[in-house]
Amino acid sequence: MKRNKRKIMPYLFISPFFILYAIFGLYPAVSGLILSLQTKAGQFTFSNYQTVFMDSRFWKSVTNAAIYMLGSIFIILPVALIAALMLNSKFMGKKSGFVSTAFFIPNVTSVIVVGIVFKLILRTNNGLINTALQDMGIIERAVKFLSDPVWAIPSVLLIGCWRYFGINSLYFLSGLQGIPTELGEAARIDGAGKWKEFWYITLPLLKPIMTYIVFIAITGSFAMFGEVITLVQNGSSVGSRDSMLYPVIYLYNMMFKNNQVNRAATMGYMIAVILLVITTIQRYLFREKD
Amino acid sequence: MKKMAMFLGTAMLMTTILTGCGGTSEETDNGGKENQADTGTGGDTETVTDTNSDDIVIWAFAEPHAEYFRWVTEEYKKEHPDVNFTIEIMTTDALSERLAVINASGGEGAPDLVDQEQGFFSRFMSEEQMCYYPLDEFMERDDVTDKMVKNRLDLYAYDGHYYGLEHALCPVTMAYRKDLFEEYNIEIPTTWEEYKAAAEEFAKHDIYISATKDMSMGGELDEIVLLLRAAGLDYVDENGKLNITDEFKNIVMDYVQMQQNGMMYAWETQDEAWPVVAEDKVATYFTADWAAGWLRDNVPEQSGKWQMAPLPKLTDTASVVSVRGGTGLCMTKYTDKDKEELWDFMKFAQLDKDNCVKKYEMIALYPPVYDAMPECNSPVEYYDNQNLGELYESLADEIPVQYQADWRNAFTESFNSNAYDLVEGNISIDELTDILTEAVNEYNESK
Amino acid sequence: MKKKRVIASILFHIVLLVAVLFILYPFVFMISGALKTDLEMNRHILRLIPREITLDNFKTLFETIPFWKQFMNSFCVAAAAAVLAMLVDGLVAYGFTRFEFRGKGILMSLILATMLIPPQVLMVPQFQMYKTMGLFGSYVPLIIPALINAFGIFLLCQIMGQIPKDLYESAMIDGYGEFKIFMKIAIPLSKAGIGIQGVLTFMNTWNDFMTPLIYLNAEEKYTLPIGLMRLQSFYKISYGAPLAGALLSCIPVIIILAVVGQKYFVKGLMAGAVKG
Repeated sequence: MKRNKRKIMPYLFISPFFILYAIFGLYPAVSGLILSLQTKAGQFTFSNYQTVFMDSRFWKSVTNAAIYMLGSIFIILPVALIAALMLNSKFMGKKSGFVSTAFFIPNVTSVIVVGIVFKLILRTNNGLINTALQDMGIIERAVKFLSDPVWAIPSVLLIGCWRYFGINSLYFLSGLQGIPTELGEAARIDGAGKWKEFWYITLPLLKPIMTYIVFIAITGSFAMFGEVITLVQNGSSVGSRDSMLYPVIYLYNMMFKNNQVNRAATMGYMIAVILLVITTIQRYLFREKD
Repeated sequence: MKKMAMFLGTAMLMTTILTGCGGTSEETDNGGKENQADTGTGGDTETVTDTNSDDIVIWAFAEPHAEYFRWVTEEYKKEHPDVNFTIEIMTTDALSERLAVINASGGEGAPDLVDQEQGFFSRFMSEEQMCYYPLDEFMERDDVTDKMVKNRLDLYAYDGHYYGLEHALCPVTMAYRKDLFEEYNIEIPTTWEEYKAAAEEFAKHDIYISATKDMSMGGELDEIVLLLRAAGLDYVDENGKLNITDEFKNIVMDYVQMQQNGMMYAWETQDEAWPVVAEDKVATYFTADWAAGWLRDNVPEQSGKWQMAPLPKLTDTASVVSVRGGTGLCMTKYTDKDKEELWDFMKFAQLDKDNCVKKYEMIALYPPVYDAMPECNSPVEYYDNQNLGELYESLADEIPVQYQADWRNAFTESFNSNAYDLVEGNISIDELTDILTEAVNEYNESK
Repeated sequence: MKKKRVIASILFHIVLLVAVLFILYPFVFMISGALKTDLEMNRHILRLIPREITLDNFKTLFETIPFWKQFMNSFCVAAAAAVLAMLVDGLVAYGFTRFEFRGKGILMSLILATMLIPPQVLMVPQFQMYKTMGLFGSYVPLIIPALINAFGIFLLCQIMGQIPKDLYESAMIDGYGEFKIFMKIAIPLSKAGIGIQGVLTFMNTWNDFMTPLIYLNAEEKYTLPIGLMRLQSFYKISYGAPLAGALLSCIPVIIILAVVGQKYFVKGLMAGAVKG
């Protein structure tokens, strides 16, 4: 009896997560799959997948997310790494507490606040950036950051950069602090320059944390929602040439505006599959080589 | 020390939850939205306490309609003490989205009455999506068509049935700066050609003829369609089909050019316009009754300088008044209440003369109800004591019809997506026409 | 050599200053905008110290939406989510770190695997489910995501794993039951980690935008982000009042950061990520 109790005990403790996930995660996942394989009338069909697969707007939204993803990996993360190297430097001293907090704040700022503020920063008439550039005489005609399709992704990237470069540099910093200083010293004794030290010692040792950060960047890009919804007319417009159309926004509109439940569920699954493919590739690229 | 702070923080959270949020955890347990009791106070807004399923649930979006409902339901309760109301307010988008979803899944949780914005009504215009109950039998019995401007009822008509009772007449006329026109000796334009000429004249003095939404942002095409509608050339024709006329193309291009040449101030969000208006740089403004107060609210210092005139005519036969916007009170087909009782309230709120007058005083919606109109006609101080009501009443029967079409959303989406290219000259208006036509056709096929 | 150091130091501080300014500027801009008149906002957007300081924006804010009601809604939902998340994550982490049992490794990977599915993807079926359960319009859908947070469990496992096993053993000899050990030993010894988890959950739920947008359907029930979004749709409202609301909505988060101790918190947060 007592032995049995000891056996069950661990499962009792961990059961809350599994019970909750079964109800609120697994069940919807299965019912979503069923929805995606049904017509509105409830008959079995593959046509939803066919429709979504042939839908150029869906692929446009995926492309937007992919470009944003590349932007955040190749622009935001390097900037964050540089910032982390600085935070880790010997000049930092006692300022580190304040600076880390400052870096942390944007990440815990509500997306609606971000939307309200950045709309003012980016707008055409009397927008902050436009006014500043015009006052300095750099540009003459205001740039339409929010309607020009060329500027749509850079504008959103700017917001992403502001929101996430701080927290990412803190993640990098934690990785850097885990690297024993002796390694660097040893390298210097061997006559390796700063650059070589960074490339051959620091960077490889940052790989585990980098895997995590890049993973977050990928899923974050494909889950883009609030930033754009709050930026572009509360979601009623998705920019010229669908330049502000992201997968989850398209899914949301399909569900709540066009009311095509089955098609929206299908899109959910398609997004999940695309994400799975990308993150698998990422893990392959970041695998431990030895 | 820090651990202490951490612990205090956690303890603080705990206690707040235990003391302040009894209501929330209760709600968490009970779940259902019908049986939750609101805790705390709602400030200025009425707090709904003791909601139960016998209440008539009204979904409304934003002020000012909600303000009117709060008042009129109280009035109604004085006569019918046994009737209770719950007014749920949400954004315009949210309202239509929730309703569509509820409708798609069998009507569970549907409200009894909905304040339906006309632009979103088109979303419900199909057999599958129509979640409203046709009001024809009630309207026939109570002679509503004689009491209310018929064109305003047509806005909520689909497949030969009427579904909503309109709040407001929504006449659009032209507000103009009398002093500016006098100062520069420019005639008040009565035709579109004269309007464009006036724009050029004002531009010489660094004054914008009007402030309108930046075309490259897309949008509902509201400003542009006003004159087309007055001329009977709206892009939705009487059969609910897409009809892009040459007039449509010309007027769109006129707007694009005026904005690009700096003759018309182009804004991305409305509020950018007011400082420009405040600097005496805007000469005219097409406005509906419900927006006539915007000038008063945003540039109060220009009181007495503005006047209201009929619209410039796009064609010789065009009407001098147009129509913009509107909201209809609709009854959902899912209601479990007595429909007679609901209709009685709808009549009380939308057709009763005294209530209509009160609504005009309260939120400046000019009634579409004939016998209430004379009561609303009094001088308006802001417009130099001009009698706006009289002007509206005199134009009431000239108010054009606005036809509805279920494809309006698809049209707008396509327009939004291509407006920037049109403005930048990447595509011509004819190419845009083709794209719009294709989008609408595609929508019609997908049905 | 020394000269080179000084130059490097100056350069370093300039770059650091730019980075901090980049991050803090929008906040300063928000505060200044909340105190500016609309006219000044439109004419002199670059001016950070308003020539004419006004509190009208706050007045408009309170007159237009039931701000404090929505503030309290947000607070209660976030606090409830935080407390429940601490409990659930604590129990699960304790189960994983205290015991050896069959399938432990697989079950842990299962938990981590849930991170692969972004919650947005499940939006449609989840919505259908909550609606069938009659929870549409309630706060339940806002709280649940906090309770199935794999990262939180992972983070707590890292921290609870550091508790020496001997402590548990001696408690057992004293006749403590498992739940009592959990309450009297595991929780107090990892309260920092649990606290961080609570604070993170609080902030995430406080800031959540998509879930309340989907599930809440009346102004009296709205949480702040949705209230502020609706505020922007009023014709009379320009940017002042939303900025004022945005400013006030940041206060709890800033208080938490200040009270909990910046360095401590940021470091604690990263403790879990290092091994991720």
